[in-house]
Amino acid sequence: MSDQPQTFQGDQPHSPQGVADREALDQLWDQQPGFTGWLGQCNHKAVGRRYIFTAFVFMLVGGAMAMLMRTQLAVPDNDFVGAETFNQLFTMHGSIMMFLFVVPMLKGFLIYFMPLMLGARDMPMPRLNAFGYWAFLGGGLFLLSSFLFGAAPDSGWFAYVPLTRQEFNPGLNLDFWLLGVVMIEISGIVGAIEVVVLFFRFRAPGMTISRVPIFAWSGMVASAMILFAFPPLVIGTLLLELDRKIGTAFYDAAGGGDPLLWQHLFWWFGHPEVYIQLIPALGIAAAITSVACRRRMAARTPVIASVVAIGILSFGLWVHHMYAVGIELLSTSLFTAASFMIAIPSGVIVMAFIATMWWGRIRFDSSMLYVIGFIVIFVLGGITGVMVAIVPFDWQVHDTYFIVAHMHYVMVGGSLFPILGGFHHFLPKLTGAMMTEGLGKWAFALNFIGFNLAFFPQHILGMFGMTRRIWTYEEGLGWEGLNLASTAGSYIMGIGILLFTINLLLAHRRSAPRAPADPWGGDTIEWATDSPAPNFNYQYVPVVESPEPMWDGRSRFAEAGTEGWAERLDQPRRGVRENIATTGLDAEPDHVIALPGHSLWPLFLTIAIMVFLVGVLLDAVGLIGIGLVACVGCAAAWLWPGVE
Amino acid sequence: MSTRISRTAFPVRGGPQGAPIGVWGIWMTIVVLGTALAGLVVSGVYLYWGQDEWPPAGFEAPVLTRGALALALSVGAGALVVAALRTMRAGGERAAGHILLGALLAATGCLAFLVLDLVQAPWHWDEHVYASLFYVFVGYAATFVAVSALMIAAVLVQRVAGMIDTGRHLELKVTAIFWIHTIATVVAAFAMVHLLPHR
Repeated sequence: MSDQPQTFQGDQPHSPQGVADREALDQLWDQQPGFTGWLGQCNHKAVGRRYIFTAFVFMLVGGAMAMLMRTQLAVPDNDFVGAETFNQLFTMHGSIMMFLFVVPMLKGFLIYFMPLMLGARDMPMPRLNAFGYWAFLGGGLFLLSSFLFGAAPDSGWFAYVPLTRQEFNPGLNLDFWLLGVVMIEISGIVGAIEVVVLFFRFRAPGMTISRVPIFAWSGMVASAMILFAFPPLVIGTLLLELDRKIGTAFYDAAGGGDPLLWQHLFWWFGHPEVYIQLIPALGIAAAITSVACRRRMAARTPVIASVVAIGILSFGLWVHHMYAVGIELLSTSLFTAASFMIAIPSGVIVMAFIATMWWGRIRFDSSMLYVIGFIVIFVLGGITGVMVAIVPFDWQVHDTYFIVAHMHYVMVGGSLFPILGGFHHFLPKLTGAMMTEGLGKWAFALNFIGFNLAFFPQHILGMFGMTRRIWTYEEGLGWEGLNLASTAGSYIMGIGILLFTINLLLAHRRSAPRAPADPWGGDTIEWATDSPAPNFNYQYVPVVESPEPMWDGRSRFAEAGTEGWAERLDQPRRGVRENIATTGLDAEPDHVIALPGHSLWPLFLTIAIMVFLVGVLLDAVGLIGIGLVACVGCAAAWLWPGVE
Repeated sequence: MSTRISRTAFPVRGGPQGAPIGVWGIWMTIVVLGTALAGLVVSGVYLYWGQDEWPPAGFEAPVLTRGALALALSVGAGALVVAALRTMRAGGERAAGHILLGALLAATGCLAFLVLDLVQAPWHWDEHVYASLFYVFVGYAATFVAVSALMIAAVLVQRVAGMIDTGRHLELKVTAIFWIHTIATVVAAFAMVHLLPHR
């Protein structure tokens, strides 16, 4: 009798030798002891968890800022916070939500779940993965530390020039923003590199490109987009920092520069960023939907094609954020057409979700409710998106609360709701806990009602002429009732998020029930392993036969004894963390690769970069030099063969 | 492409078919850096199109010779790194070390000319966007030449220490691939500084 299971009904050994191998694998893939062992973890699950929970904390901070702003705007002529504080609040709220919450949260989901879904034991470059997290944390703390020095960024999350040049913004506020964002962008880029390589080289044998789950496809597309969207923003921010620090003239019209260059570079990043935040969330929603509806996602291939199409088309839309800057009408017409075009694949995806629900047997648990909320809110945001893609309409509502409402309908509907649903769905695999359904449904109801009450009136406020980013308004403009309703909605949503957080905490109390391996009857292979996923993910290498390996009855674990490489992976005699790398399209076993397991160098490199950034911030040449030398030293030590 | 060059990859089933993860990593890095370079070049061209005069009145063009020499040396250094890689593959470990030393000298020479270009520029970076672009492009190229030279130096030390040989030389291959981007950066800097038509 073989010492291993032959189907996906539990990745457990059947023989004493198999049990001993499992224990050996567990020890091999476990973290090193002590605090430095904890700090030096590079495994994708440790890094993924850190991303997810750090981003969640940042979301709470950003959400609290939003409620402070809504409190200020609840009544006319209010002075709950002053103008300067209000400027800092809307700048940091936007920056936190865009840079420190949605993208890192989704990246956390990808880093934790993609290897599990693809049948891998880790990311292809674990130390780079760990560096991505430390850079994210460092950049986030750097950005938030500006509050301690009374110099929080205050020019909006888009940092428009010339408002952000030294002569109009002389403090350190914008320098905190620019340097922090560069650090966070670097984190995003390294994470994206990891995901793309993982997608193409670390899939389980048999998981051909046509069998990859939609979640993994969405992760790959969003990551590929990051590779092309983020670097121009890094260049743009570096040029702006050079303008501010040493007086170059890139954005200075008097010196031959052009302030509009910033908008081009920023929106080249900024518009794809919307889809970078939408697409992985859509992957989470697809994963929930097929399981909750108990059927394959309808139009699976067109959905994947639409995701790829959105990824490409999103790079052709950036000028629709710039209709009001005086660009020629012919150009704006072309961008209007491109903006309309992206509604087609988006429509395909929405119809596929509706068809899946129509033909499935829906289980209305909390995660699925969030998906339904996502569809409703995202469709509304998409419709107003088509409206503002029309140039004359955009000219009327540009920089009004209509845009604020549209943006939140897209971002909250398209990203936050799937993320909250993803917590309910994936928490068993993430921590082994399960959130309570009753509390979950209450939280959903409050979030859905609160969100719509908070943001739907803002469409009308925008039509009535209420401009964005104003810290107060006079009585008698007809805005009072709608603003009060909007504030009440934000409080209701705040209570919803609070309930969600309480539910999350209660799920982790000691007496809470533990989740089984497959609580939902999942379709993809992460549900074949324990909850939470063990250190090594899978003892036996999965061999995948369809896009729903848990449902097809044919997918299995590779048989030891017949495949030398499988035996090598099942039985860790070499004391090295190993994974099977497969070919890019057909997922044929190609080579076994040894992976590093513990390293503090990614953390040290992050600290060195932070020293450099502080030096730039304070114009301290000595610190800059120390930081640079430390960066080179840390990178050399990290890359030196055999060093961990 | 053989995965045998890596000390952490072990082929299965009749030989490897794909590139090692390290090679994937460096190509992904080049995609990112290439996009950044493209962003910088497009920004430069955008600013150039907005000018009535190029170079602006009173600004003399920088010396062509130093830029051309830096370009030639960067291409030379890249070619030598590739030659070292081929020699290493063919079993000439000692010769590969010598060629790498030559590459390091060429890279250092390239860096020296770029730095000299920056130091001896006839204007300051804050005088006009023309000058700002010159400093950024030349500085950007110098940064990557310096990084690439450090990579050659590290590989050379590893060769001397016996850590790189005919069977395991992924680090050398990664350095050779990275030089593609470095040469592209120097070419882009040269083109933006010296080849944009005068107006």
